[in-house]
Amino acid sequence: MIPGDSKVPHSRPTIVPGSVEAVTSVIESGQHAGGHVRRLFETELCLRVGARHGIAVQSGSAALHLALLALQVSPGAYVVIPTYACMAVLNAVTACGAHPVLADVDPATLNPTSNTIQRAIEREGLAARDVRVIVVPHMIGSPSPIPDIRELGIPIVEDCAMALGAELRDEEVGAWGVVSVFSFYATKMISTGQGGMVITSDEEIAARCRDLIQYDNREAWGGTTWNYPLTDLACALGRAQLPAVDAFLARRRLIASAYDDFARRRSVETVSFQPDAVPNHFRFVLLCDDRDGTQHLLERDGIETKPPVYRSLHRYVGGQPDDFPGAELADRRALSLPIYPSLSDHEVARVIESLGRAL
Amino acid sequence: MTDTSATESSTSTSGRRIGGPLLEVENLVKYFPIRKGLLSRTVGQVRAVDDVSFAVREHETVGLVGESGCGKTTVGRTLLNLIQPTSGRVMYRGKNLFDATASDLRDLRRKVQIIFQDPYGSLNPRMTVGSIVGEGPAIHRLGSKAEQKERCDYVIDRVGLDPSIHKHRYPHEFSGGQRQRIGIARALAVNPEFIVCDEAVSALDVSIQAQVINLLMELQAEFDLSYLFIAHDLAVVEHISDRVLVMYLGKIVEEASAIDLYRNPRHPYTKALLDAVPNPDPRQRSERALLTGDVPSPINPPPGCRFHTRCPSVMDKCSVEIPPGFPIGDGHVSHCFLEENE
Ligand SMILES: Nc1ncnc2c1ncn2[C@@H]1O[C@H](COP(=O)(O)OP(=O)(O)OP(=O)(O)O)[C@@H](O)[C@H]1O
Ligand SMILES: Cc1ncc(COP(=O)(O)O)c(C=O)c1O
Ligand SMILES: [Mg+2]
Repeated sequence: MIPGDSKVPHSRPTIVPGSVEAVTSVIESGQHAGGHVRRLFETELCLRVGARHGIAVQSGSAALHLALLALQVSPGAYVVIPTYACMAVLNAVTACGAHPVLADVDPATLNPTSNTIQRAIEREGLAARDVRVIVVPHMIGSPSPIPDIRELGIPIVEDCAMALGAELRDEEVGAWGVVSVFSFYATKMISTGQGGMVITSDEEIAARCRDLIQYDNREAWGGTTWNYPLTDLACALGRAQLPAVDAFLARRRLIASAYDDFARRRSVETVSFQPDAVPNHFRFVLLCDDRDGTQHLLERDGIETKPPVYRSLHRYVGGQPDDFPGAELADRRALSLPIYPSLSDHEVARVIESLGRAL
Repeated sequence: MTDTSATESSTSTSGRRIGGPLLEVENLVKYFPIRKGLLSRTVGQVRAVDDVSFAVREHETVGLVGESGCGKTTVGRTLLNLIQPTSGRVMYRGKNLFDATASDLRDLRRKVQIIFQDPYGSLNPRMTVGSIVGEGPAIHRLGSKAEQKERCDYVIDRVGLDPSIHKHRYPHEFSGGQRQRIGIARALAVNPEFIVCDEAVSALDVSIQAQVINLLMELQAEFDLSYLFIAHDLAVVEHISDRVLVMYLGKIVEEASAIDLYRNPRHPYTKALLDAVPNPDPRQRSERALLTGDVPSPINPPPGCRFHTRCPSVMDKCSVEIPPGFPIGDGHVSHCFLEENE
């Protein structure tokens, strides 16, 4: 690390002008959870992704949980999820009392495919009709092959936690599933600190979601409901960032192309994308032969990198490594570099320089 | 052909109960004469609306989309009796708008309101907001003077303005979004049942757009309103509408529930329109089934299917016969011969 240069963190939220004023005005209005700003945030994201209903909740995890509840995933139901995903996805399934069926991923894209999903279902001795829902994340903001996965005929929850602004077949993600979920956690494309949203165009699912997060003023207790609505304060912060998403995407694209140039020059492998998809470059992921060594060398130069997923889910639940060769490879090889709109050109150059020494 | 069979009530966006037919448009035609010379001889006609039929049910939002000049505004204005149709009927609660008695007409002028795209042009610059909003209740003698004032203050407050301050100001003192709120308050003041929103949010910034959309949806629930929502922004129409009509050169080419239309568009024009949604991102203007060629003139519209000159799936009969509406199920209708053999 050159003296004077500070650390380059793996993630950093981007503060857009007007954020402070937007939040302050909600604080001063005295209506911190009245839902007025929440409904605006919901409508604005709906208009962006092309959907009829949005339900803003307190995290992406809450959004996933709510989505599964609204799809009537009940105890004992089977839900397919990819093993190469964060623990939140597993938690949403187990919170419903459902059985997770773990699918492997394509080690080149880090995403599940209709083949890996099909194999997972067969491995459990099930048929497609036994599976209630498939949760399909667009890992690292790179769209999964949803049109293929749809062919299995199982309802899809599209997990766009990392994918705001990414496109699949010329359509922005967020309306490919029966239900889609977003996360606005501090490191995500837009940040409300913690936050998330369920998006759907299905009237009944939307009505169920709204009912499930409403606990007060009820005539009778009709089962557990969840106090999940996102505060108006948080929504004001999210709304301030939405108009900047296209600028965020452009900056991320620029940084990604600089990293890409480097990777091509040095023949370093990177994650590949679906041919019919445009990623949002939420993460830039290298596939390294010596991932831990590379991470360590970058760390010495003050550059923070991370595996995109801490540990594949099958490793927590006693899955056989042989059943998940794609995820095992990803667990060993994938390394995510700093990439976010507020990363300066100088910082990008430092990352590339350091990579040049490390690889 | 319009599917008006779905008269039983159903539930839709935000749990509204959609009721029976409120407005039924039957074979509506509006030709504008083109006049020339000293004697104003009619030398041709603009076929702005050419045999259009549809229905709007109680508490329902029907979206109307299509390229500029396809006749959307003309349809909207005919419903308000602002222009006389060339032929056809518009039935409002079973009464024909065009041969209504004077007192029926008065009643209709109150029940059916319009909100325009350009709220500035449609608000009298020399009138205060209070008198703009108060004019309707006074004309229609809705209750006592005190009740009229109370109603005005209520609707001004309801659209998010402050009656005590804003009533005394003039339209130019407001932003675009606020002027649109004034237009909405004016429409609401006379306690209408049905509002034509003609590009009501098109001129507004995205963040203001959501505010006005949410306001319209809340007002619909509070006042049991029905809307004809005319817009060229397909995302806005999808979000707000229960059903959507797609118009091309004076004709409706497809009609379906919002979800069906966007998930499963059938008419080649609808497909092209949905594909042509401008991508804000210039990096990715890939080859889509973009609409090629100009819209033909409504003065000499193509014979047969009006879209055949630009249609990627054109067949021989398309230039000869006008395609009737082919029902696809659930009220989804496409006016295209591709549906004929399916
Ligand atoms: N008063 C008029 N006299 C003559 N022609 C007219 C008149 N009003 C409209 N037209 C013509 O009728 C056709 C339909 O116009 P209309 O305004 O209904 O279209 P629109 O779909 O609302 O378009 P936009 O999206 O631009 O608002 C156009 O060709 C227009 O030029
Ligand atoms: C694919 C995926 N789904 C869900 C979540 C959970 O989101 P949150 O952290 O907002 O609970 C994450 C978070 O990283 C994620 O990556
Ligand atoms: Mg118009």
